[in-house]
Amino acid sequence: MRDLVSHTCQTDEITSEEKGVQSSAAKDCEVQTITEEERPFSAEEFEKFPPSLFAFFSRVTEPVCQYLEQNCDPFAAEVFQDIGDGDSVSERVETVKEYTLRSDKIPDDFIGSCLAWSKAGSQIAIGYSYPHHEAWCSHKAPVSSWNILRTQNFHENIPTAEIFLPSCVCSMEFHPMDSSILAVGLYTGEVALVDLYSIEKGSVSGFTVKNEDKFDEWAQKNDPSSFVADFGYTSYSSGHTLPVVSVKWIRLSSSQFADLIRSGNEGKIDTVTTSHCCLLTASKDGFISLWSTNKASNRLKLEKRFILWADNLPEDVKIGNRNVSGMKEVGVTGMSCCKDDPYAVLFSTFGSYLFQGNLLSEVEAYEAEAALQDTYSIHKDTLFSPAPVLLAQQEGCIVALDCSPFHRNIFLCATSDGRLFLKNLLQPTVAWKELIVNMENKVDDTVMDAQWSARPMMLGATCGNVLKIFDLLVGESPVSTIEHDARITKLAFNKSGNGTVAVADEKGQLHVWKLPSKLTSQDPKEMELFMESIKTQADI
Amino acid sequence: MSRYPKYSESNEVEEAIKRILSHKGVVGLVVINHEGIPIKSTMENALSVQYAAQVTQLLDKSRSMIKELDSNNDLTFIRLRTKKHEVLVCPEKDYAMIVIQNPTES
Repeated sequence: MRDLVSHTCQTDEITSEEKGVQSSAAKDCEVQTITEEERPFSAEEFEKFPPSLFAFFSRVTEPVCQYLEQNCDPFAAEVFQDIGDGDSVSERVETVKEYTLRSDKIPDDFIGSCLAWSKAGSQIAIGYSYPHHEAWCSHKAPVSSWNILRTQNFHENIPTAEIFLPSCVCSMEFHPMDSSILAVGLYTGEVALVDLYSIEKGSVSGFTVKNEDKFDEWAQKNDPSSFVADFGYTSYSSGHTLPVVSVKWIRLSSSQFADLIRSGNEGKIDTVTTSHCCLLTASKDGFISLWSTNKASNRLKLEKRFILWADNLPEDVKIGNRNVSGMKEVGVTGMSCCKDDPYAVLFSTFGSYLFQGNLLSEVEAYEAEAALQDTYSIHKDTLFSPAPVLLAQQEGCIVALDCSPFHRNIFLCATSDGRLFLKNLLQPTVAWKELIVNMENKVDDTVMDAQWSARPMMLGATCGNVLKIFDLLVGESPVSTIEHDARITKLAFNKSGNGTVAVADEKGQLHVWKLPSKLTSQDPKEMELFMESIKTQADI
Repeated sequence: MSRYPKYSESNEVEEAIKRILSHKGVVGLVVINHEGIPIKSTMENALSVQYAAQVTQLLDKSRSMIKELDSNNDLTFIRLRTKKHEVLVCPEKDYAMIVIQNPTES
């Protein structure tokens, strides 16, 4: 027999468990995520790409200037503030004489007749002339030039460059771009280009032309462009026949140059002429000539000639006896070029007339051509009338004419009777301001020259032995007077803004003065006041 | 973007230098970089280097002094008055400007 027994048993609950082991693998990889700009500079990179110095300066300049101003001696500040009361401040603010220059080689009887600063303001040149001429001039007159920034080998009696020219020097001006080139107008009517650099280097042996015919002969045989290199200057006898009273450089853009020359050359423009600095010369023979230069600025080419002819002048201009006797050329006594308008020129003539002319004028002066054809064989080219517009007739003899370097319509005109007229081209018959230079009204104290300074509202005028500086911001009486021991013939402000003024006198000396900084530093609001003052006058 | 100074910028810098020098009694100006090397100067070379070296030390010392006292503070300007003149130092991260002035000079 079989027994069946059944048993049950209970096992533990089945549980399951999962266990995991994680083994991690990591790898470091260098990846560049920072942009180049943000990376700090290494020393080499710093040199290559320095942080902006400009930005640094624009942040820092203002506070530094502020502290520098605070530091100034409070007493001195008080003295400067006194300028506002209109008194003469010449005793209180010092004007320092920097140099008295006179070359040893200059004969005693020569007077300083013209002055010119280079455009950078480093060179000052003086031209000499004999005080009186009865007839033809055969004086060998020098032009001396000093580089006042040069500290080594600077001698007040030995110029940096000096050249003797075949006749007295009447006018000159430095080339606007090349400060070694000086254009000089001579008493005998020639225009010379002097290369001061080659004179200084000794490649020129102080040559003087003794005989003009010989010079012409020489120039025909040789390339005239080498003349500067050989002798230091080029000169052209066909320019004028009487003293050249004014030489002015005018800078033109290519299109302006083409416009100007086209009218004179019937469309033919010399391709050699690449430099658009033209020279404008005016002479007492009534001619105004426009010259172009070649690339090296050592050769002049006559491009266009204007003549002031009595028949072409407005009817109310009375020329008097000369006109009746058939001499109809009206001599120019002074000339100035307008700011911003390269074609506009102002000129004064005999009879104290003031005219405005236009160099673009294509009005041919037929009568002058016909009349002069018989008189001089040399006038073969077309003559133009500068389209003169009469601005005014002054009472005294006009000794100086200067257009403002800051405003295209403003100009000054000084007369020998001691008055200085500041006028607006839009209202030339009324003076915008009239300044009395010769206040004591002494006969000997004639005004010889007047000029605008490097500041819009400051100008200077000579009066006998005294240089008077006027500041229109302060008033209409001189703010500074500088005495000299001889009569002053010319003055020239350094337009580069270093605050110097040069003065030539009858003893042939050249004085360079440093004006007080208060007079030479431009007030930030000055230009605004200047414009406002002109506008106020125009409204009246 | 190029980091080369533009022509007009370098012109502006020259103008700013001129403006600073035009102040009464200013004897000279030196600009040094972060390493204390003079990069612009209107004075003699030897003197510029001397000023640069001395001012760099002074700047480091002054900066650390200010930071020690208050870590949130920073140096902005030094005006050092001496018997003969005043030394003005305007420090920035990349450059510092040193101006020497003799305010009583006529």
